[in-house]
Amino acid sequence: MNSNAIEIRGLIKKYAGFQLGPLDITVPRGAIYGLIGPNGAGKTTAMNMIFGLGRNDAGAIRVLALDHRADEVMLKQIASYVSPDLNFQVWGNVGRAIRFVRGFYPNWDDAYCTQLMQIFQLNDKDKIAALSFGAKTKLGLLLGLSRRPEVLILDEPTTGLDAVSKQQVFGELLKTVEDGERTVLISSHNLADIERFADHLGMIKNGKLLLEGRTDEIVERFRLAEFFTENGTAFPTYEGLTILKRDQNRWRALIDQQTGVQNWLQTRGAKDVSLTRLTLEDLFIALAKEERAQ
Amino acid sequence: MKRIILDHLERWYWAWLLYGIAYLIIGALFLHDGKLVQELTIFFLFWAGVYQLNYDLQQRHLAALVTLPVTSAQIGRAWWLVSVGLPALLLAATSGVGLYGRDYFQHTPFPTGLFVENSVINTCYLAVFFFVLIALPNRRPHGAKEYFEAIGLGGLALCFMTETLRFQKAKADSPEMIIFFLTGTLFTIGGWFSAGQLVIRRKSFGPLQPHTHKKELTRSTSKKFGGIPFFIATRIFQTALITFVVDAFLGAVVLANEGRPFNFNSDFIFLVNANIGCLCFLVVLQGMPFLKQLRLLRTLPISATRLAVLSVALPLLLCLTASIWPTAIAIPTEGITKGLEIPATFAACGAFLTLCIPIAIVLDFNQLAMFAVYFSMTFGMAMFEFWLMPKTPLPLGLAAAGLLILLSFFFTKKCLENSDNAYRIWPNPAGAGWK
Repeated sequence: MNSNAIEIRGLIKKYAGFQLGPLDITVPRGAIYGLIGPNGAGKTTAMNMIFGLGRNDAGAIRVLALDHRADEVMLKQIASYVSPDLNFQVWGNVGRAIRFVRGFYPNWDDAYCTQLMQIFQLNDKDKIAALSFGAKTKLGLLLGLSRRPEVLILDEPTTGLDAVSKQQVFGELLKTVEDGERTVLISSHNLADIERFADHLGMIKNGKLLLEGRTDEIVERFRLAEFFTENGTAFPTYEGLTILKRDQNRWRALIDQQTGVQNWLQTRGAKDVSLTRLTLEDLFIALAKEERAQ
Repeated sequence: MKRIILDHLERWYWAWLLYGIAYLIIGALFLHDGKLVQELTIFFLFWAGVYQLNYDLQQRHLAALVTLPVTSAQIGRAWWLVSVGLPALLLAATSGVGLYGRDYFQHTPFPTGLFVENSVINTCYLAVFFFVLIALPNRRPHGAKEYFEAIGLGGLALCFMTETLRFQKAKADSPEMIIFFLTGTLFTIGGWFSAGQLVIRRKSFGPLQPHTHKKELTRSTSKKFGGIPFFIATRIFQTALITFVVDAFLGAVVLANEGRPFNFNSDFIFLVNANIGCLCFLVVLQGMPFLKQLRLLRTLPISATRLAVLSVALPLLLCLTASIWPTAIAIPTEGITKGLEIPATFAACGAFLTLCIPIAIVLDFNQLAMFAVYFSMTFGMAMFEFWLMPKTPLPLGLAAAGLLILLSFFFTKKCLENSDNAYRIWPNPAGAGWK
């Protein structure tokens, strides 16, 4: 059995003025995989491609070994997509939206659906137009989770949710993956939540994958370095080095410890190098800035 | 106010140009002899007047305008000018040129009375459309008061239009025409002076009652069928209901005027024979929600081929559903052969409507797309109903409809598989933040 739930290989999607990819993403089975990146990086596009919301120009996508085009219907039976952009409003009330979606899934778990309705405080008779933004997001989650998908793909699922609701959502996601068989791919701008809940991470920027791996390993791999140099010192571009700020002879930089850049800095005259551990948010901001040494 | 008007003209000048050219031709060819089908003029006036504003409002135009340093009165009057005042002038000018051109070449005197009367009628229509659009709630009515207001306003507009059709052959100084002009003038002047208040009222239509937690969970859906059968059943039921209401109204008008609810030879061509209004309701009330659902539908386990079949089948099914009531009324009075012409005609229109979805997707749901869909569908269906179907042998009509359906299926499937446009995120007119 394939140990990966989602495999994206050489994915390319071209738009006027933007190209996603070539993109390779590997989501291990049973993982909560956080896909992060600045606005417009291509996260939603990548997720859309999995579900055929537009056609990729190149590359292959496989979900539990199913090809996203050839096995489209099977793939959608075992995977569910949750996004605030899905429109349920035409169904009028919550009960009718549930009834419509449930009809597509023989494995629909009605008991779990009822349980989630209680947790999310939703009722059959609630008018969807009258729901708050957060409640609409919860409805999307309810519809996504109640079909008991093997792969759950969530695009910004916590947008508009208050702290308590977010806790409920992540609580349910953790329950979903606790048997080790189900997989969650989640994109979010809430990096504290991603760091806490996602065990794997991928970061996209300008349509390209910058980083991928276990969240703890990625956070451990990078350090914020502060050091001093003599007057006039400059640093050429070096792999694993991102200069964040220079204040005369005082420097702040993001370093990738895997590349040996720390030793290289010292050979180039860096003194008093101090390293600080970063949060995922610090790392995201630093990588998003993209200021390279000259 | 000037900037709002200029902005509108800058975005919609091409539509105005189109209306101007169309009405010039109408003026030159049809107005003089009174050959123009009045019912189609009503649709034309809807387009030339309020359609553009309606489109902008669907795109949350008001939400953007209220953040700018302009008063509600300025917004309202700018809207009145672009939907009533300026279109009335445009149509008067172009029809005048058309009439004058015809008279110049035919050496006949310019029909001043006809020109003035036609221009006044046009203005009255534009004003009614504007008033109703701005005064109606910008989402599904909620509560008895809102329903009452919506039904009242919609009914008033419908009565106004049907009474115009009834009086179209009346003399200009007849009591009926005087009532029409007085009502129209009231809407015209009232629209201008109450425009600011109407905008404030529209702004105050917020989302429905906010969601509140309920202690008891109600679940009633556990054993009922769902999925695509539920989808189709819901649409058919809604269509049957909507068309029943519309047909009951139209039947009552014809019954009151001609002594029977259905008459193929009636003067009320639009009301009785064609029922384009019903089908246009379907495009707006059923077609657009379907397009908005494509993103959701594509994430569900249904292949692009099945989704394309659904896209093509839905307009056909809904048109056939819409034909149930007029057919049921027509068969007893007109005979079975004539009665069955109605579902055949509606099915042909349905075949034409199936093109809506690929057109809207290919054109990326932009203003041109919406314009193309609504405009071409309205007039395309009218052509089908008035000119093509009555003169076309049934086998040929069926073959043409079949070809249209096949083409629609092919293009829809291609669009669903290859285009990103189908899955754009729609602005939600009734969602949070919409005013």
